[in-house]
Amino acid sequence: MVVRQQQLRVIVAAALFVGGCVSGELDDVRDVKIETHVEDWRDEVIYQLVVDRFANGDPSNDWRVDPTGEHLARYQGGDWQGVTDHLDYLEALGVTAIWISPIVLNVDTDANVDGYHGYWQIDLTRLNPHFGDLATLRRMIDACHDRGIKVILDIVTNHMGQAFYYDININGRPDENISGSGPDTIERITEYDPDYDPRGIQASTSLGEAGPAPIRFFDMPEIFRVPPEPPLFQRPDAYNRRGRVTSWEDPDQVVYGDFPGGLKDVATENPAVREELVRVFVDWVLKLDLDGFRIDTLKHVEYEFWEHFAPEVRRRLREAGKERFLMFGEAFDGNDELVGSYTLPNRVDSVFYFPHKFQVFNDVFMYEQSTSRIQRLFDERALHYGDQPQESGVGVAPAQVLVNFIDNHDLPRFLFEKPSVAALHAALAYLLTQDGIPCLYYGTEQQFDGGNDPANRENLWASPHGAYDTTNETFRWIARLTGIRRDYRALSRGDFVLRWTTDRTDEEQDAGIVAFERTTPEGDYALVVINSQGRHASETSASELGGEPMEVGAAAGSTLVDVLTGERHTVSAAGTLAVRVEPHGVVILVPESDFRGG
Amino acid sequence: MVGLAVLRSALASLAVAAVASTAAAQPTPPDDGVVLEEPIDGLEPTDDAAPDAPVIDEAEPAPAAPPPAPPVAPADATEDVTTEDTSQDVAAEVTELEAPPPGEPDEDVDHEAPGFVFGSYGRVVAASDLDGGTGRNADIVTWGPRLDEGTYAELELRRQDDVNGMHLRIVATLAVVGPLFHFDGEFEDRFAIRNLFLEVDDALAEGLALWAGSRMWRGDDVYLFDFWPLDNLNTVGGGARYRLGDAAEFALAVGLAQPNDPFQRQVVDVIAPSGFEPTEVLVLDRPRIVVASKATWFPLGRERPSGLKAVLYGEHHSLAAGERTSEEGMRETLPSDSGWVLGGQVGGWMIDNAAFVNLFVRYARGLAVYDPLGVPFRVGSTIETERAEELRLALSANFEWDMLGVQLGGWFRRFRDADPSIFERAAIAEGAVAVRPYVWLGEHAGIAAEASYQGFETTALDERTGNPVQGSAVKVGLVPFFSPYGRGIYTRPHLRLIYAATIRDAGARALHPDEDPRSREQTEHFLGVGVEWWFDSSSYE
Repeated sequence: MVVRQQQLRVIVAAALFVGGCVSGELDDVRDVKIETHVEDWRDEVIYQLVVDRFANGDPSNDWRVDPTGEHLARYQGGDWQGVTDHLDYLEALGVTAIWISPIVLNVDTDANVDGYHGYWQIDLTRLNPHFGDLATLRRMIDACHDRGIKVILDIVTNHMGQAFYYDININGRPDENISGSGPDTIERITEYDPDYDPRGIQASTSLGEAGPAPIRFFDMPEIFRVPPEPPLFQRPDAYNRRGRVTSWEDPDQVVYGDFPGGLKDVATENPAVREELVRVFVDWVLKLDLDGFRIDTLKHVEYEFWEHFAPEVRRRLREAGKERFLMFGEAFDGNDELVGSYTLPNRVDSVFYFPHKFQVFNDVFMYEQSTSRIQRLFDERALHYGDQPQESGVGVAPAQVLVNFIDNHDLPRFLFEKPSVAALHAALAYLLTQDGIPCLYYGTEQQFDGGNDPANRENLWASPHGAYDTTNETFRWIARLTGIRRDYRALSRGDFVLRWTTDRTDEEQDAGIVAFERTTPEGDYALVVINSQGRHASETSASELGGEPMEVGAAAGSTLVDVLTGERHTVSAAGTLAVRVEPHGVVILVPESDFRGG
Repeated sequence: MVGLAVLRSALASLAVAAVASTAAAQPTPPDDGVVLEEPIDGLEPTDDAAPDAPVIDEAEPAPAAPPPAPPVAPADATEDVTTEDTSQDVAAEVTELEAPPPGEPDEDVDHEAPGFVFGSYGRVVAASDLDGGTGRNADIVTWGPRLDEGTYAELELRRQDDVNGMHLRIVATLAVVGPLFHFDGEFEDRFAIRNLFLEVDDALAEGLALWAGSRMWRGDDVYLFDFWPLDNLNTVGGGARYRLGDAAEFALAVGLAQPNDPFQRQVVDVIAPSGFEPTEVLVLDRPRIVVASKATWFPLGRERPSGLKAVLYGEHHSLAAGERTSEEGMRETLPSDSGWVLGGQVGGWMIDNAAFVNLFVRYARGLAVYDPLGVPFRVGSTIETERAEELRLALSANFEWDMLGVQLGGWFRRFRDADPSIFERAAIAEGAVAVRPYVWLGEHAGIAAEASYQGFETTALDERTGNPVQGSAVKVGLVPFFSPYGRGIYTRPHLRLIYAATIRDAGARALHPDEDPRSREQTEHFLGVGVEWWFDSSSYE
């Protein structure tokens, strides 16, 4: 019998071969080779893309897609094949890393809003079929790596999608009603998303409370609203079950409460849950050869979780041959100390630099407030952020690899708040010459100007300049800046020293000026001067106010060249330099000997 | 003696059948003829949890198509078919469940006597899985071994007359698929009118046959898989066949098919010219037009005790352009579409030892890749079939020596559907081989054993394991049977005991959702009792 089976297998195998079977088509993606693709994350320029909105490369997965392209809360059709198809576009922009929105299976739709964004996860082991399949995703990542583009995956550890309801009245069905009889007694109770209760959501009958409310998982496979996977997440003790956050000022609610929208808070304190989250997300790295995680809702998970998760992920990936795996998180908060706290030893490698977003890109570049706040924020950086590289991490201290951004999918776009392309260009110049890792939000290069979510998640193919236009001034400006950052190492790896900021915001000589130097131990040098306001030219001098021109680190008498214009500037014998910058203008100076031409 | 006559008839038909592919000639019972190359559920969003996920539901008549959705097998008689069936579903299932004929009788040459004739093909099976449940088909490929197939029957009534030198035949075939009333208590069994046509032999000229009506068109099959590799169409139309002496035959047929699906047909409500109730408008109406032709050559003559034949076969499928309304109310243009099939067959037979062998090759492109009663797409906006292609290779053979006999079958299929995805579960290479030896114990009883292997490989990767989606299964079985008409592999009826064990590898098990016990069970048993018959049917003697 055994022999016969073997013979039969041979016959069929031969037939498969003769038929020109499938194996050849899978050759490039069948196996994954785990490698380290990054030398120094400071060299990278990240491009954040919402997969559903970037490009539609495969209409066969356009399931329940909004056919109008106008209802941005619904699926629009973008997918991983679309990303693969437009790598030329990204390369032309100078992008060296992409951050893709979550890949795992989500609750497909809820209250007429779709899970296109990826933050309603329901099965951590399966891919979202709206975006393609594993082979397509692997091919996308391979294609990125072939071009030197790294791939960062967005993950969520804080919550699952709306997988269950609290059966408060223990009747076995989800209820949503209003009870009470007057202004002071009317209370809205929803079993989908009840308000926070520190004891845990309580069951309630006509006679009073009846203990912890049981949770009941939905069974709606037609919209992927089913008991979550892996199976551990079908256990009640995998969730905190305290209901929706009602006060973001209450630290317990922030950590243990459900996220608005019925997103159920995962009990990350549970050791089994921690282990499972490490396992499933490491597993994706090993299946896909990813280069980093962008971690959602960092501040809604206790520190102890990160002190387990981050080192354990690094350890397992190092054993698999993956080093310098970047983990940076989102702590959506302007509190610098809080944001920085997630980068302390044994936590993540970096964070989104929200304080910088609010105090610099908003206050300075949108609202033309004083640039001295840049100095103040910079002075606090050393106090609040990790100053030593994480063990087995990316090899650079968190304070030096903070992820800078002008806007993202949770914030109105820059041009919505400040409809000035010139101001945007000044902000982009600052973003791409700053220290840390610059992160561009897709569509910025097309001058998108959407407001709050979902208006800020436009379809890239619907650009007013034409689909994937590479000729508009903002695309070309970004491409030029990324090229400069790539050409002059000082701008990516150099230490950051502020040379000029000012409290003045009116008609003064230096109003709006920010100037900083970037220097490396190898001798690379760059001096960047930006005029953040758009009313008049300013210069790096206070001579009209009884002060002096800006002191610089470049040698006295040396000549610096503006890489944007080729204009030469000579450092005075006193080591000072007065640089005049047009409204919203930028000057990027490098030593004449380093200048590579226009 | 009777058995020998049946055998002789069957072998003769083998020669003719292919020819008469307008098979018309042989209203052979339907079989997996209607192969829905793409799961219908893809077009029924509300019924489909995961659009791209294969639906593995025994009760759901299967898109015979590609695994990963294990071709829902011929639902066996004991199966509980409780899901809502669309007309397409039923069609699919019907065509999945039938048994192929052993060979095809030469009813064209030996015209039967005038009058009414009742004939039938059928099989009824009741089976257990030896674990308290119903025995189920455990195949994982499109055309799996049929040991564990289900219930299906045809009841045929025809009227035959000889008029003015012509032979007339009006054939009406009613088909029913299990489960039967005595199993599920549901009085509404699923019926379909399959054949309903008139054929006139020697019309206008000797050897020329003309026909029109609803008809199953087919040639030779691979019995062990209930599979017609080359030609198997089910349409409403008409055709002609011309027999050129003893050496050749030519057939041509044209048919229409229009599944009630918004790919080909759509009715929408609009405001009526007056009054309050909306009125219906047929906004999409584009039946598929299929033209098929077949030429068969018998180098040694078709009426010989041994002979050879070669078949050249082709189809052309076309759809007009159209326009439909999406669920969101958007107008969508459907371009015109077309496709073609080119295939061939070579075979030979020897009346001694009841021996025959047939080899088939068939390549289809575009629309023709999809059965006329199937719907080409899963989901999405892919609305034309240009990319689709399919290659089939197949073999069937039979040999008998006194108390011994053996059947052999095998096939390979490479399929790519119309959507632009390279990596997907529908892009499949699959195949199966089976051998079934027989031993006769006296004149009326015997034992058949069967061993088979089936496997598939797709261009998709499993998300949980990271490995290619592929799988295989080995099936072994034993079938003691009683044959009232005596010996002969193709004598019928056969009363049978059937035991089959299917051993699935991890890939085959992974075709089933975690909730399905089959996702965990390596071996599936099937122990049943059944009967298969054919008599006085256009298909079977």
